[in-house]
Amino acid sequence: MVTENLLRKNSDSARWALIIFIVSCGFVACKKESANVAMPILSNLEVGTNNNKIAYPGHDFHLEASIVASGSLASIKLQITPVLSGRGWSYTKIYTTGYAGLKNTTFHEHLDVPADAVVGDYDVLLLVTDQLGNKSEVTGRFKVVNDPTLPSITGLQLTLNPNGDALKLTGVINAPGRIAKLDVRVQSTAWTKVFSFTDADMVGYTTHNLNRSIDLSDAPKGHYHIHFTLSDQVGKQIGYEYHFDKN
Amino acid sequence: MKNTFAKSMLFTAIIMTSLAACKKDNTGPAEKPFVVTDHYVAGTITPANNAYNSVYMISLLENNKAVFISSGNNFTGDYTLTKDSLIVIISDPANYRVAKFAINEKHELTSAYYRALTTEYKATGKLLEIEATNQLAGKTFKGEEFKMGPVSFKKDLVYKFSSTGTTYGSGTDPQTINDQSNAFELINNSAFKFKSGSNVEMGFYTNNQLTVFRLSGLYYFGTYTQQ
Repeated sequence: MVTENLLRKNSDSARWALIIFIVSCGFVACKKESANVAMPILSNLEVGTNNNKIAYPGHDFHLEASIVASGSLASIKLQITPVLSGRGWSYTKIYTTGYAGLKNTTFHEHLDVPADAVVGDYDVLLLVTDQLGNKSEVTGRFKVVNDPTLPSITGLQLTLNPNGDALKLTGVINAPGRIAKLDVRVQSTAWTKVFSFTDADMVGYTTHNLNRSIDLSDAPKGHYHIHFTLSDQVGKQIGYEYHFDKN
Repeated sequence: MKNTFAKSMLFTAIIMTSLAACKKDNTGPAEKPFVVTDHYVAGTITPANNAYNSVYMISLLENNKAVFISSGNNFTGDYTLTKDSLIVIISDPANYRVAKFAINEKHELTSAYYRALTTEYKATGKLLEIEATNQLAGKTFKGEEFKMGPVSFKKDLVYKFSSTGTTYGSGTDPQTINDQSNAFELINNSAFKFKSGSNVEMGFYTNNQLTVFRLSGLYYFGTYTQQ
């Protein structure tokens, strides 16, 4: 009888332990679904070349920011609006390609500023949404200015040779402040190289017929971004962004 | 025996309760919350003499910024959304605009008012969701075009959008329409604006209909049904 009671007691204890275990599992499972994930973090917003916070009508405009999203990125919304109500350049785009699903990344995009963009002050907003719907934003301000003395490259053409081991660059450089340097940054996810041109036939001149080839023999196949930064001798810079595929 | 049955019931009840706590979160698909920035306003503006129905769109951006898009320049302003109204104001005195809409609990616009500087216009407006994909791609529309008033100009005008949804063409003979003729700016995936010199054509798509306004020296307008 005593043994029977003991066995029944042990059996009851085991049953209660099982109940507590199952209930705990249930709550843990619930907790997992509603676990708090940190909000996405945006930092190091760069607006314009070298963060100069200036955009020029008809030219390329650089934007960059660091993003950490422990909940994995869903999208990045970019919004540009004039500070003052009225006529002005407005731009919105939601980026997903190349960003969705990542936890840590650098937002790096180049926009074409419309040639008729109204000069003045503008707000830029980056809104990051993670896959749980958490949102964070960062804002900045920049100016659209007209500068007739800005250096420029017109008719810029890129021609990849049939082997894909050299890229020919042609165009006309104009620099009222006299040419100082042309940097060409060629970048893919696997390979990056910067080619700097400071040849005597271009430095110090206000006009130059660009005709150079850059060596891509050690660049692997892939999709490349190519970014030109033209600097003059009074410190003005302009950038151009192009793309090509090496097959 | 009775005791064992009671214990079994208690055991089952506890397990069901613990699982129900989870189930509560998963009861069917959650209703999508209304996010105003996932929408835009599209409608028409008509002067007092009924000479034309011009098309406009208002993009509703983050931080209560709004962009008013019409056949002229785009204007940026601010909007205020309450449970029963949407008010958009371009406060620049040289380009003052105000658009007021009544909005119901289904987030539909039930009335529209528009004033540019001191001139009031008859207005219509719809709050359209911004679709994830291009709604114009590959679609053809047909309908009656009007010119500078209520008299029909072209009985059966056809608009044909290319499969890429980046170009379109129009004409009265569907066989000869080149849908690559005009490269347009896609607005919020269901509206378009085409500019060529001083000529502007723009329209929006909703409920299988395309509402178009064209400024080409004179004003042309119409509503076209999807074919």
